[in-house]
Amino acid sequence: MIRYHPSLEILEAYARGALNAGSALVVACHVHGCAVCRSEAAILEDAGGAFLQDTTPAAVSGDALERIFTRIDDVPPPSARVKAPGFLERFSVPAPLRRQRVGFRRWVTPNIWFAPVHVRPKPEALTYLVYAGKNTTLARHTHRGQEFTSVLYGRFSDESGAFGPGDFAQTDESVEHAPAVMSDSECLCLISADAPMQLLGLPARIIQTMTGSLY
Amino acid sequence: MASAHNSNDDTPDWSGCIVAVARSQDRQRFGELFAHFAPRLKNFFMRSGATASVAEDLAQDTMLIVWHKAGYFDPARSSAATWIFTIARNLRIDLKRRQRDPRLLEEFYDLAPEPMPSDQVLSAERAARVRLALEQLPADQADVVRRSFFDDAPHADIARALNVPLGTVKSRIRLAMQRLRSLVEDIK
Repeated sequence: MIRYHPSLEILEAYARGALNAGSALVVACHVHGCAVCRSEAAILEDAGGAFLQDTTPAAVSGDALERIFTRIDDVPPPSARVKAPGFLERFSVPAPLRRQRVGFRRWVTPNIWFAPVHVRPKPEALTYLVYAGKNTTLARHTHRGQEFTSVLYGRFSDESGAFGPGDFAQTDESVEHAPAVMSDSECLCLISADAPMQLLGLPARIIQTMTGSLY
Repeated sequence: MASAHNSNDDTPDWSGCIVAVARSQDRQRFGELFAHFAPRLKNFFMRSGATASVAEDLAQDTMLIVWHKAGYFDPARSSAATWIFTIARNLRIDLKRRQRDPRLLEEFYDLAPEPMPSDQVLSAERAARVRLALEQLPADQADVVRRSFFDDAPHADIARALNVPLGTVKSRIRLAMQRLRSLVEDIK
C-alpha cells in the first residue's frame, strides 16, 4: 500500500513537463505504480485536452495537410531497445526505468551500492539507484537543493516515516537523516538530486573523499 | 459515408477518426481530425512561446505522430483531445530540452500506459466530466490552471501577470484540482 505521494505541485509540474528529466523519471516511476497519482495526472491531462478543444484556432498554411501526406511514409525509426543490467533483473523495476540506460554499479560498502542512471537528453540532476542490504544504515546526511526518491523494492525508514514499495519521498536542505533498512528486507530506491548528498560527520566525509563518490 | 459526426448529436466523433486512421489509414477522416486539431495545436505551441512558424511545424509533427501512433489509441481509456494533448505536451518538453526527437519522450510519458485494475473510471467519460467541470470552476481558478498547465507559464510569471501573490496562484491551482477531483469522484 502506497502511503507517500508527491505533492500536487510536483505532480502538476510533472504532468505539464516542467520537471528536469531526472526528477521526471523518479516521479514517473511512482506514478506508474500509484493509482491515486495516475488518476490525478489523468485529470490534469484531461484538462489539457479540454483547453486544447476550446483554444482559439490559429490558421495553418493551406498546404499543411498535403505536406503531412508527403511525410507519412517516413516511418520514424524504432527506439533503440535498452537492456537492463543483470543486477536489476530480480527487482522487477517499473517500466519508465526499464527504458533507461543504467551504468555500472559501485559498491561503497559490502552492503550498499550506487548505480548511475543515464537519463537522456541530459539529466540536469544526479539520477541514480541506491541499494542497501538488510540491517544497513546510510551515513547521516543532508541535501543541497531538492531530492526526490521513489522506493522500487523493499523498505527503509528515517525520522520522517517508514517508506515501502511505490512510496515517494521529497527532501531538501531542511532534512537531515540517516535512512535505515530493517532486518526484514533489503531496499532499492531511485533518486534524483540537485546536488550530491552532504554527509555529516568527519569519518563519512573522509570515506566520501577517498572513494570519490559522486553521490 | 462515415464522417466525424455522430448520427445522434453534433459532437464530432474525433475518437472514431483516430480509430479509422488506425484500422484503415483513412486519409479523409485524418483530414477531418487535422482540420480541427492542427490550428488548435498551432495556437497551443504559440501560447507556450513558439514562433508562428515553429508552432506550425510542431503542430505538423504532432499530427504526424497521431497518424503513426493511432493504433495505440484506446477510446475507452482516453478522449481524442486528451490523447492529442499529451502528444503535443511531449513535443513541448522536447522543445524545451532542445531536442526534437519524439522517441526520447516515450521513455517517461507513456502514450499508451498499461491499464491498471484500479483505474475504475472510464477515461472518455472522465474527460467529458473534466471539460464540464472546468466551465463550472470560478473563472480565476480556471484561468490559473490554464496558464500553468496549458500555457506552461511558471507560477511566478502567472503571479506577476495577474498581480497576485505567488501563494494565491498555488492555492487557486489546489482549489481547482480539489474541485475537479471531486467531480470526477462522483462518477466512480
